[in-house]
Amino acid sequence: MGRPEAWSELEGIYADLERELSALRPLCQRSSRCCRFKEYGHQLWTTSAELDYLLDHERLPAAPSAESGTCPYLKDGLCGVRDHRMLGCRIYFCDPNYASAMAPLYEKYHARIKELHRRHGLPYEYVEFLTAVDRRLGTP
Amino acid sequence: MEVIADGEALNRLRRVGGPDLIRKLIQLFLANLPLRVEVALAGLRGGNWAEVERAGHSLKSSAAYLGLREISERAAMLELLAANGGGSDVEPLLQDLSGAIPAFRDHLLQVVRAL
Repeated sequence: MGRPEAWSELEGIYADLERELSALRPLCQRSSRCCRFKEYGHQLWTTSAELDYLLDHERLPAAPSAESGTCPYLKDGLCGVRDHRMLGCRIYFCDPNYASAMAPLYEKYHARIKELHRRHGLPYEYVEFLTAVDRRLGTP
Repeated sequence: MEVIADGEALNRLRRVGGPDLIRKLIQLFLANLPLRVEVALAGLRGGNWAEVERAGHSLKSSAAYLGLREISERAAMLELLAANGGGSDVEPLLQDLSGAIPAFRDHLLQVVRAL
């Protein structure tokens, strides 16, 4: 199986997640705090396939971003790659009423994505997003 | 504040990213915890509630990932109070968080050693 099949399956996983989220209805305040990793002491971790999926559909950022600590795809306070964003971005909401649901939901969908790697023969890595993107740019 | 850790949160992290992920998240948290508390205390002294809110928000979720519910709940309260203009509960809450740092640091370092 090639990448198109893997990406189609990944989109199916994301669609299943969207269905679950629409039932939970977590509130997004659109504060973009979740995209300003360094400012809030957070990190975004993702799988190698999700990073490949993102970069198969979106351009690499123009400059390294690990030092700034802000997602390079944040544009005017909104996600500039919303259709191709990673599981961590899809699942994270500040809503305190949703907080207890988040981690189990993440584990469940992460396991499906990890299994997708195995089934499609994609090398699996779990990487910190900004460092991994910078590495693709050739920045050590 | 007592160190109560939700072991399932760490187990979950281990299943997702192995011991390396736990180690890195703990390192990040241990660097952030005193810094955020310090920033919040400075915000309290200077009446900068936005800084206090930001510190609370940061600690709330990073503590929750590591199963540190006691910190996460206090940080959430801090964020809420600061978002609503502060109040007399902020200072004792921050003192509580500040006083608990050594115990939580010891606990997390123990977790790292056991990985």
